Amino acid sequence: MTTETDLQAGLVKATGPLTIYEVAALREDLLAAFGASEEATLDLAEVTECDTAGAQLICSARITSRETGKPLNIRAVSDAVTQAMDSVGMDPFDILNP
Amino acid sequence: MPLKETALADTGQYLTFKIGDEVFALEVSQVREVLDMSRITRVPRAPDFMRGVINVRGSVVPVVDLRLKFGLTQTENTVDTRIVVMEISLDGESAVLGALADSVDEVIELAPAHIENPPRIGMRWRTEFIKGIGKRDDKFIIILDIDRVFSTDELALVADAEATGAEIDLDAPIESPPLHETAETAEMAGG
Amino acid sequence: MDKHKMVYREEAFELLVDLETALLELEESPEDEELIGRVFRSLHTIKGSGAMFGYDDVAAFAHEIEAVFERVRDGKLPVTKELVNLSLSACDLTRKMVAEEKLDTTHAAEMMGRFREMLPDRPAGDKPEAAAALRAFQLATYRIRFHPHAELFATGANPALIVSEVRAMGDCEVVAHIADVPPLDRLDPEACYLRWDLVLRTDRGENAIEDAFIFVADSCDLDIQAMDAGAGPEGEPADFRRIGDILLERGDITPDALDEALSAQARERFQDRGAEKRISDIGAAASIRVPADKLDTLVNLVGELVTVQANLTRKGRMSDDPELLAISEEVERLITSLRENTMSLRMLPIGSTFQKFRRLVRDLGEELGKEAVMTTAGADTELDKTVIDQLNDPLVHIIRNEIDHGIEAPHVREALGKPRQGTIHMSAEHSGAKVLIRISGDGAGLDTDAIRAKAVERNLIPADMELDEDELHQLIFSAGFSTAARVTDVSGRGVGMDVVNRRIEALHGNVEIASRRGAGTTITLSLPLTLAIIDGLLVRIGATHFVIPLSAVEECLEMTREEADRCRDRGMMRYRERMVIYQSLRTFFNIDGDPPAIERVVVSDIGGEKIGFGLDQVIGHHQTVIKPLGRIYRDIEGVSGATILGDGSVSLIMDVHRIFQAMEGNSQ
Repeated sequence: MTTETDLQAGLVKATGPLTIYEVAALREDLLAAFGASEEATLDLAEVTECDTAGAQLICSARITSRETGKPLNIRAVSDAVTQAMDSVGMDPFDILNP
Repeated sequence: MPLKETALADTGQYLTFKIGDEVFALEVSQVREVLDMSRITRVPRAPDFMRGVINVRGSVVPVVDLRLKFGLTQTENTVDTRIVVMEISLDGESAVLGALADSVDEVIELAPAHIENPPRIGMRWRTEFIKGIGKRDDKFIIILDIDRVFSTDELALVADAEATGAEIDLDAPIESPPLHETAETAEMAGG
Repeated sequence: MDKHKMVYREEAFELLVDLETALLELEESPEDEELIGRVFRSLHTIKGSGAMFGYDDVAAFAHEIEAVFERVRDGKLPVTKELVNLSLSACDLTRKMVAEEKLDTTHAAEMMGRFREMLPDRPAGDKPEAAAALRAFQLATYRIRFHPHAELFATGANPALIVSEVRAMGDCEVVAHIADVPPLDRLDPEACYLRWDLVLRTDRGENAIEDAFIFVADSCDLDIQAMDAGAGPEGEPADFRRIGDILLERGDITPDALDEALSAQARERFQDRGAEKRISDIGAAASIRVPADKLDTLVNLVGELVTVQANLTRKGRMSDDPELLAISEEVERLITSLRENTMSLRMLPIGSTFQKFRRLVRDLGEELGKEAVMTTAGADTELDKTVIDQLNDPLVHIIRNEIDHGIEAPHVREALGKPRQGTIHMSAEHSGAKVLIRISGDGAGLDTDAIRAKAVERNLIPADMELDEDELHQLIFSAGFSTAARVTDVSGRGVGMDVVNRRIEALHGNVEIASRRGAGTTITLSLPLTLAIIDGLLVRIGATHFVIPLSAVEECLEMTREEADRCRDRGMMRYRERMVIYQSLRTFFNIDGDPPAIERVVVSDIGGEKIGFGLDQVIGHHQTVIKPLGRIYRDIEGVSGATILGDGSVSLIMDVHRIFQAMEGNSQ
């Protein structure tokens, strides 16, 4: 996975797999984005693979947004992500939409 | 078009080539391609008619000299000499083999009506190598049973004959030799 | 055959090998819980995927054995020799069932009966007996609480796969609880905070559900409860009541969670596609299976590329164009790495082959009234699949030979002060571009007197010939040699060690034997890593080019024409203060022309025998892709294949072993 971040805009774009091996890095990026900006944006269009740990991380980002009151826009979600959430019984609509 | 093909289903296509003055034919389904003469690497300790191997786009293909196989002199290398690469069946397994021809002529169509069984005697060529005799423009065309020519029994027979210095006189009419017996002899001599 | 079935079959065969291995190890250490776990898991997978791919008989049969091993796992049954024997026979039967896709009903039923007899006190059990799982279960609804421990992900488990497996069992609702997931700043991203509730309606029974969680059993809390279908308050036992009602009624979820569940349900209906994709998710494992012939095609293509590359490099070096040279060098670098990668795809550890022999050693020992075990080392040594495949028969032969003739009967061994049980040790290791495989037995060793007597009797050697011990040992590789005192079912079938020798040489390898009377025998097979490409020495005799495999080359020398003529007359040459055999290859291959003023000699070591081969020129090192010569050249002595040189011409690969054999044949 590679991420592109634009801290000013609070933008984090993840590319490639989002699995147990990548979640630690993405967590850092997301924390930085929440810290640097009033609003965070997570672009998941290019995520090719997502496992339960990946889905959990996205979950946590949503919870962070709810707790801090800073909006989180999750945009352009790839099929891999919705499927991962779907297959573990998470509600993508609930988690992906603000 | 499909209709026409069905109608012609019984008419076979044959590639004709010359060895000496004689015109031979092979079913085109057995012919893979026709190549110009190229450098042949001789494989030592093999019978003379097995001329060696060539490189056909990365594959190593054996080349045989049909003239030597049929008891004539070795094929001369002329501008007309060609290697006919064909797919034959050796003991039920398919194998690719190149055969030298003095020249390659054309692809013709022969209807079954124009093909006769080879006469049993009086032939210059061994009848068991011949599928039939085609007739075209008053010329005879010998349709080869190429699988038979290169059956392993045949290879063993020739190898054995050459090793012991015996000549196979193909010019004389030959009655079918009892192949199995010859093969056994060859085996004993070889083992 | 259906592609999935093929995959299952292959997998099942591998699993059966694993299972056999585990069973054999279990026989030696019956208390080992890890081994019991391995047996159990193998059986479980055979059963589970068997059912998935329509091998219901196999699944049912495996289930029966699994039930017994479940008892073993729970400490209720001991591992006995009888159990291992029965289980090994069951492996054989299962293999047959998978291979022939049909059930040998009487045999299977009998065996199932024997397994069932092993189950203690079936009626007394409070839980339904595992064996009873065979009959079709009634549809029942289960509530499954799956609460993973935090370290679940660290075990490599992906709950999505487990959940999918459960979903596949019937009508299923899945609810993930995200309430415990902390915000990012408190999140350990590699810990699992999620937990799941599942409601499943299935006829597979509780055991099947438990089985889905078998691999995560140690890293989760699992609670499976059958919701008594008959005791529903509405008295509608057969109906699948709405999941939400059940969950609420049981106090399992809050109304909020119910909404969550319902929206999940609604989504499910809208996303039919999702189901299909879930299945493909399951298949997306870390490794994939590829048919061997596809790999072969790839190797061939890479081989052609290597040839074209050689041509390009040659052209590049000949031209004055530095740009072309740079490109050709770049391509060369890429192709080298492509070749190495491709070759590595075909490399397999030899371990699976070793495992097959554990069973052989055990069974042969029983058959011959001997006790033998096998130990192994270097099971992870990798070599080309083609080599491994062709190694099987020679190894079987060597092992048979050792057990039959080498290992003594138990009472004899005791009398000799040896342990009752004989040991056959197989090891593999890399040594340069070669793999050495050693098979040692601590049996009687070779009886040189018997060998000599036999060899004389068979006219293999003259009666008065003087031979040292090594040379006598070497005789057992001669054709038609066999010292078996009696013809047994195992060896002495008219084929001897010469078959082993021939097979190994066909693989461009060689065989060495070392033996000490009374102490044992070690046979060492030395094999190339791969058959597709060999390192060779390009040489020339007259106008003919040959490649000699580097493995056969010990040294290159040169000698003057006069010296060479003398050697040719005598058939001998001086090498390292010894007289060794000399053979002019020009003579051997009947190549015309005059030899050069300085002749080159390549010295080979063939089974301990040094031979000098005279030739015209050594051109240099040549890495080469082996091509078959074609069937009509099958019986040509001294040539084992061909290769294409950089200029497109064909060169022949020399087979020094067969040259040597032909020389021996001529001199006798």
